[in-house]
Amino acid sequence: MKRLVSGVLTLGIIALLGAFTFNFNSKELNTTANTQDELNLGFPDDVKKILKTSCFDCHTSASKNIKSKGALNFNKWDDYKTTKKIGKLNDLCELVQDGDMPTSKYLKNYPDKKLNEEQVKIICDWTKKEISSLME
Amino acid sequence: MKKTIRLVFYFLVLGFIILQFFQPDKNLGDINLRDDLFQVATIDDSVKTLLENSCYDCHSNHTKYPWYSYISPVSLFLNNHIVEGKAELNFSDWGTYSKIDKISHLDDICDAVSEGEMPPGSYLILHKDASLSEKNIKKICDWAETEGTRLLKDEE
Repeated sequence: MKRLVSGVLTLGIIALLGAFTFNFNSKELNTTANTQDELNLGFPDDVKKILKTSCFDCHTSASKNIKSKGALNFNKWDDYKTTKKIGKLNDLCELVQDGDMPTSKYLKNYPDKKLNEEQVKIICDWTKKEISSLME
Repeated sequence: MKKTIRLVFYFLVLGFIILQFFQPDKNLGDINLRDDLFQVATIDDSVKTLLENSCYDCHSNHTKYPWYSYISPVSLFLNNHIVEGKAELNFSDWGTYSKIDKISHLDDICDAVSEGEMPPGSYLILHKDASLSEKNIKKICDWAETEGTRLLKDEE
């Protein structure tokens, strides 16, 4: 009987420890997800706001979608070479203008993240300006 | 019953024959005209060969057609691929692209071949020799980067 009680107690302690570790881990995950809030890009605020709402879910290091963050990862923006930046900016405007981004699959789950004409204009005006300054 | 099957068979054969009269225009313009990538860009022969073998069928004005591509509905399916490919990027029109578009395409070219998105799997089924090895992918990427940087620094 005594043995049974101590066995249950030990199990209880292990479970408690496990719960703590799990809690700790999930907190850590959360902080990684939060890095996108503090992502320090030299982009104007209105642009950053749009990107944060409609693009960062898939295009930052915290994303689980390897393909999308491989194509463009804003956490790595500063490491990109000038030619790559120009290429990505050029594609960015084209993709949002054609309505190819955000993808329809994503918008099915998050319809409110669809970009309106005004937002597309803000993005494209900015990419064009940014490209010409990079070309100098 | 046997009669019905026979009738359906004749009907299908007839349909197939009629379909042969519907052939899309072939993509058989000249390459190496003024605006082609090979005329405009700084590119060495080994990279030229790679692009010609793996990209030019769908991304230029001149496709090397295999024999089966003259048969409908294969010809229609292929034509669709070519029209789409050229709309995205046409090396025969390279000279008409702006400097920004050139730099952007060069960056995308390296991404697309590195990710294995290009050449597409459906093309590789019948064009095994168009498949790019790691070494050749690196060659294309190195060239794309050099050419992109050259364009960026090039004062026009």
